[in-house]
Amino acid sequence: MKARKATWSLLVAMAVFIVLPLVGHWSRRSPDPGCALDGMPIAPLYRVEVSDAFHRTHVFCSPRCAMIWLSRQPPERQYTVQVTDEASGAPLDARSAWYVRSSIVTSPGSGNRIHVFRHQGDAERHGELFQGSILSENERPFQ
Amino acid sequence: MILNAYAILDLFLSSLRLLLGVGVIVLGVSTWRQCDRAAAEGEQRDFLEDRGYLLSLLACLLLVVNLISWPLFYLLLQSYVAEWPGVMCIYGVTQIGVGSLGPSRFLPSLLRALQMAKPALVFVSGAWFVLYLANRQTRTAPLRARLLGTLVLVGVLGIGDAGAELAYLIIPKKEVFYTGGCCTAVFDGEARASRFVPQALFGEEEIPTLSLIWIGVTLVQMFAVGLVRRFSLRTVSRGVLTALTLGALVCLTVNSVFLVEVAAPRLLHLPFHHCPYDLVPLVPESMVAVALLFGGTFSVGWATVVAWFGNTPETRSHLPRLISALLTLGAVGYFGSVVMMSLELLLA
Repeated sequence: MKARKATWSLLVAMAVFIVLPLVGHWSRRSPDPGCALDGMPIAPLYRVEVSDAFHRTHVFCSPRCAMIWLSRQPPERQYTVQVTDEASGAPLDARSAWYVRSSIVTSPGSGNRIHVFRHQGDAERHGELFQGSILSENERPFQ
Repeated sequence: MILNAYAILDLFLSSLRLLLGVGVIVLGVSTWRQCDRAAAEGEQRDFLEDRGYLLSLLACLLLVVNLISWPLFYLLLQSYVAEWPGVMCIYGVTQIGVGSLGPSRFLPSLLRALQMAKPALVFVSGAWFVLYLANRQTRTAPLRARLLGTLVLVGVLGIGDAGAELAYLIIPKKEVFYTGGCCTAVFDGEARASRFVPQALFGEEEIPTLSLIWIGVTLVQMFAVGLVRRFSLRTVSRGVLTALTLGALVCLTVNSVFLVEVAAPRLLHLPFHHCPYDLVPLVPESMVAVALLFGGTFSVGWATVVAWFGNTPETRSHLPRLISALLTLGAVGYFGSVVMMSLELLLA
């Protein structure tokens, strides 16, 4: 009687061990992927995509998160970075973008103050409105 | 003070634990004194028995509230996340007060102390309980003095823990300048769980090796516990149980490193985010696997405590069964933890 009770208890425990992860996984079926660095939700206007040589793409919520992540990668690795123009929401190559550091924080977690624009005029306008300045050649991220 | 449902519940439970701790210490010490006197004079036996029952009931209640206070503490911290705009997870909450000059400068160290005290308190409370079970099966209660000693220790630890928790709840937090809420800073940096291990072992390329070490160590520990359990009804030496406890500590360390380095990033779908705190709100069922691991580790430890401190001529015939039951719990804990975590990782 006692042995049977122990067997049943063990079977119930095993069922719980197996069912619980399945239920948890099922309840989170289609999660929106957050920032690859800190898991924060990604606002489309500040999205940064970094692709490596194996065509794996890592998405970040701000240029700052992408910069932190890149600084931790081996220097010999090559990456392609795509940023988002804040004025239009269109993606563009990081090398051709204009960067402004202003008083506006885009992501409270990372404290990102770097803003990305396709056109110099948009960048200057943002700088004038929010006490910002355009980053020089040496300061630009994703060099 | 930030008041929400969890804070009120925690405030109530901590006050209760404080009162219970004081009660257990006062009753425990006075019973201890009277035990000596009664043994010498052969009097007051009924009174002592009644006092013993009251003390046992109080201690059992203290054990239950100590156990509840552990997850409640993390739920409280999780509920505080929304209070500061830059804080993303529990790690951010633990950083509130860093660099502050006001009373809030004590908050980080209080939290660190609480995070270490909770498992210690549960372990010592459990150790008292298993000794109590061993003592209950005897006629002359030969473990009474040891039980009272352990109970006073539980009371002291409980008072310290409850006091620290009350202090944490009461110390103002709103005025503090927030210094950093991103959990990536510490767990990806030098101060992470693996800081005592060479960094080269834990690069991205080492994840398969680390996973192999994790599964290997946990399975070896599980089978070792199962094997010792098999022979525990006949004979089991204290040395073997001590070795098993050391193995349990190694296994716990390996599992902690694995959780931070491999499991958390994978379960969170964030390959570069080594923050186990985020598992509490985002993958809550993984906490069951962690709890099972702690259960397994503690059960092995309790079996060793019983073998060392519960061994008297009168308890000797009952001990093998108790040790066997504890080792069964230990093996089931390890098994459940490894099955759940493996399934979680496969599904992630």
